[in-house]
Amino acid sequence: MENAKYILEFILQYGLLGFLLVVLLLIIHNPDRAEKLRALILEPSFRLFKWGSRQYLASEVGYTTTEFFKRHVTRLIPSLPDVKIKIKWVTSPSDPVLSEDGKVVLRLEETNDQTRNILAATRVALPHVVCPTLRPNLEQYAQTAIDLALLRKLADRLGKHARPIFQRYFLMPEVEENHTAATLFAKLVELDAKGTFVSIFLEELNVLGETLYASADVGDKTDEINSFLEYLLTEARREVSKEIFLEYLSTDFRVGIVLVAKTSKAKTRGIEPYLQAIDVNIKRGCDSIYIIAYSGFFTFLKHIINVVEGDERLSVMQVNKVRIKSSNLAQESDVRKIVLLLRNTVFSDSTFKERLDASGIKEGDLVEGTVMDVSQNVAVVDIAGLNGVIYSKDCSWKTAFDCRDVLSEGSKYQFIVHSIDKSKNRLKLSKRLPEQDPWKSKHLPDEGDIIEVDIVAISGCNYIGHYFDNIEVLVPIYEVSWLETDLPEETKLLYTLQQLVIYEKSEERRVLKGSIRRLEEDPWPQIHQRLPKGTELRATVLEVTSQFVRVALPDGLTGIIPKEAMMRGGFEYADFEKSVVKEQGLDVVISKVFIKKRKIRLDLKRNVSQRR
Amino acid sequence: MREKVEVSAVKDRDVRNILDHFGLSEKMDKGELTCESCSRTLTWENLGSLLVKEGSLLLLCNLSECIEEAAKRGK
Repeated sequence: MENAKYILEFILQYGLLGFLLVVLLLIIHNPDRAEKLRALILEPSFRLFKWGSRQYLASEVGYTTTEFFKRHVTRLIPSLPDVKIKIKWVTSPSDPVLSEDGKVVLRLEETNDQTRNILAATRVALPHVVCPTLRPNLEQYAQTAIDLALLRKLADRLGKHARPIFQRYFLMPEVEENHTAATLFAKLVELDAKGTFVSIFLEELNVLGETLYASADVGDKTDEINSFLEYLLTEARREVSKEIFLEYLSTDFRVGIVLVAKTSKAKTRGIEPYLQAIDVNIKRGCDSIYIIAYSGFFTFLKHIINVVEGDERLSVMQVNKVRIKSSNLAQESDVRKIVLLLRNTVFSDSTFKERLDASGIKEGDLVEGTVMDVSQNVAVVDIAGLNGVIYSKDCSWKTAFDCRDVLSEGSKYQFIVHSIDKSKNRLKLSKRLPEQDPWKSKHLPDEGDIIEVDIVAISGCNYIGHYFDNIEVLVPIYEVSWLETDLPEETKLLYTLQQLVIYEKSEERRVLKGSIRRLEEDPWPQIHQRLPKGTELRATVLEVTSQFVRVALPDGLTGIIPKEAMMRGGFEYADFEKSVVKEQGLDVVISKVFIKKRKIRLDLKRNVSQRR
Repeated sequence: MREKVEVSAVKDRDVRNILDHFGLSEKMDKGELTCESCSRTLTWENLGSLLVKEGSLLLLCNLSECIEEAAKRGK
């Protein structure tokens, strides 16, 4: 749109000269446009007086057919050459064409609407362009269905008026009494709606045709092709968001499909599972691997391609963008990208080993690598052309919850080669560099040391604190306070500086544990003394469960009133789960203070009064 | 690499000359010619393609299956 605006401004500024210059540039960009220009110039005289009909028909039919093949067929099939359809007129009985045995001469009608002529010319050209070498191996009905499915594509592109012409003169006469062709045609149309008819089905058929031709094999392959079509339809009919890794291995087809679509997987595991799927396809012997990426995953697909381009076992042959028709009229059509990877038979798994040997890389080496893709759990790294992976737990000596906190895409880092996975042709990496080992740090505290740490995260039932740059100290939540911790406030220490004492240091397990509460003396013996049995207190309800009521007591203490005590409290507490609510005040008495368990058991004051 | 595919064609006005030369115009006028593929009676309106075979001219109608047949039998 921006370009069109710019071109229009240019023409308005430079007038006729500007217009001619634009036309010239358009023709240089695509020489076939000269044909279209000729057709446009000749059209008025043809329509009015039927003058210049030969030139007009040749240009209009030739250009439209050529453009269709270029844009919708040969561009999507890397194994097919680009074609130019040229109309060659036979004007007299002495024309040499009429003495060439087997020559077909198509009659073009001199009507204003060229739809039928274009469809007819395409119909004649199709067997020469699409899978020409496979045709002897196909039953007639299969050839008919394939050609009709392509003609239907052309009719769709010619406009709404072309559809009834296609149906009346091309489709119905051929499928009305040929149910096999009709069924196959319907399946191919379904496949086309998902964008895989031309870019996968016809590409594979064309490659098969070339192979059969080379080996002079004229055996019938119709059944085999029907089975391959069913396999592609499985992918086409799959439910949205259902992820499947597919492969189709037979004598004639060795094809793998990898779908790139699931958001959660992409976020947490990045491109790694897709690379694994490609690796599995290679190992199982797929010669062609198609990656189908849904819209929203094109950047992600680019990362996969970047990595695959460094894999000598594969060649990235083609990236096709296809528009998918939505079955739901309310939805807009979607776009997918289909990438064809061809297995490079010269290189195999041994190539990885050879490259590894040539690089001299071995386990434990310090290497530099560039991050190709990074997600929450895993990053893919290029190490001198070899693939490496690093998982979040190996990204740092500290606890890394997300690789992206430590690594960024496109950046270079130092890694340790943790291990070499020859079965997956990749290096397993770690960023736990020995010189940064916190257990070799001069700042490493000892048991009994009082230090100040940054509380940076919670993992399970521990706070994680950082001391100096890379020393990690775990603070169990129960080590925060001598008093019972109020669960909803577990996160209250996050992002604060806390003083603590190291109470456990295990070199074997590489664990440092710190305690905040141990900075003070255990208050429970004193509490025990201060609150003898029968002490009356005013409590506030914190929590009501089926087994007890937990209450807040003065001085930050909490206590438990067991279910039995509540039941004894009379009819108003008989159904205490419903009648007692949070923040409600209760008169209680101390039943027992447990010093070791650090708990206080309570009873209702009214129960004790009644007993008296 | 680009391949050129030639589609030989004849326009309405030249068909009669060619058929005259092969002695087929008169038969066409009388409705004595049939499609080589579907046996439908041929007219000047429904003539679809010509196929050169061993020095003679075979005529086919303009139904898609007959165009396909011509493409298949020809080159």
